[in-house]
Amino acid sequence: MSVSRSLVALAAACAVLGAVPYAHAARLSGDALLAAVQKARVERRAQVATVEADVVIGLASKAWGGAGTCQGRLAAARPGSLRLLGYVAIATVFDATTDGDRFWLYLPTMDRVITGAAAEESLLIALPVLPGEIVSALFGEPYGAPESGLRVIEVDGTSWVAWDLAGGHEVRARYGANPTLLERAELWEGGRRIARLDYHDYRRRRGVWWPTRLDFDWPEEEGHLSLTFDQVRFGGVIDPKLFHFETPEGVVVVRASDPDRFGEGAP
Amino acid sequence: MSPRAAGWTGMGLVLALALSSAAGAAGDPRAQLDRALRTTRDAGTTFRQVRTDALGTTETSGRLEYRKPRQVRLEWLGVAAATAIVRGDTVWFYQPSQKSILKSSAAAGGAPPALFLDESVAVLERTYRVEARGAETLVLTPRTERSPWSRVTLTLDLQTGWPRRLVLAATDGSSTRLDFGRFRVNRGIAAARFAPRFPPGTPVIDL
Repeated sequence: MSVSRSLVALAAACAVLGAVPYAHAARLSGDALLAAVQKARVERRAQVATVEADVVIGLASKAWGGAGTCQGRLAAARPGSLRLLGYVAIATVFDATTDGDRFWLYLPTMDRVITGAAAEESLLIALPVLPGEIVSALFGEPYGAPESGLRVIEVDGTSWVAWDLAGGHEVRARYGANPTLLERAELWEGGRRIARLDYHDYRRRRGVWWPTRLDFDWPEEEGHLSLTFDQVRFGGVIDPKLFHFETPEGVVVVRASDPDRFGEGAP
Repeated sequence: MSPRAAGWTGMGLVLALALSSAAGAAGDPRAQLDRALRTTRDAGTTFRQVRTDALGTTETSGRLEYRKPRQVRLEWLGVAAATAIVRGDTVWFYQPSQKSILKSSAAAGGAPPALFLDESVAVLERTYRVEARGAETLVLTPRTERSPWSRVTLTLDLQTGWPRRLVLAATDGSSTRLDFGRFRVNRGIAAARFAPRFPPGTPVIDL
């Protein structure tokens, strides 16, 4: 097949799939980068108020002693609401919910719900399903919206954007240019990088640039979560009740701050 | 009575008994399933799975194979492919992406081991309360409260006694429906299909 016919075939395939791949352009730096990031954030907030998707979820955790893949569905609404369900075969593996103030992580196989305030979420890193961290990543504001102004920093010859969060954490984010899209974000505490987030293979879906896959890593805990997207929908009306978890009868509810939150011998 | 008349009478009795038995079974899903289970050495079919939870429905597909006594192989196809093998009370669960095999005792986990696949309804009743609803539906309620599902509803094919549909109501509020293709019964399925053989070197995690 000639090159031109290959391109036609690719374009036709993209049209059928309703997705257009993202072509990288030269990176921005300095004030031009800051201005582009600010503009992209404003546009993103207007463009993506809700998202619903079918996903494939990859999970790995040292505490879990292994890795697994499950199918899942998610629904998210700005500013910080998420429902993410993971299941395999005929069983629900987990059901993670947050309304932005509280979170619930239901583990049916353990008959327990771990719950707490949003600020306590990091206690769950051993089991890397963090609803607040996932929803902020989905909406392009990884690890939370900035507490103070954005600034440009240089990392290995590349301009990144950095901002501070409450509690002394710093977020560093690298963006691709034209359009301005997040490629990687890192969460730093002092001189340590404690979490990393990668956005892979953007496609234009229904007018919105959306990554094909998100990879969350927590290096110290050897925790990993990946979300590979399929059937993404934007702007749908989502019942707010979905973001408040109703505990099934007979299920044990434990606080995230409880040292035995994962139960005896479990993850 | 002449020998010929006696012969006709005998044949008539046999026919009448057979017909009355069939008529009774046609209106009694418990008897229909029982007959299907008792007369089956092996069976296989495909299924379409529809899961319904708080976020809507999703579909997958798969295959089911059964061999008496209580050997089951379930394969789910697609993006999160998985295989479950049941032998007696032991369940092996394998995902190619998982790099490990989970091995567990169904009884210890509170689950009836092979959904509805057992030697007879009497054997099923050791783990379920079995209740007929109408002419073609059976509702199986696990006897233990530790079961991950609260109810299994079977809709039977009136001609074969095998389920056309199975709906699992999970205790977490989700439900999973399996729509079965036609069961191929007693065609012979190799014992090796039910052997827990997985890629060499894959660790087995005993739960």
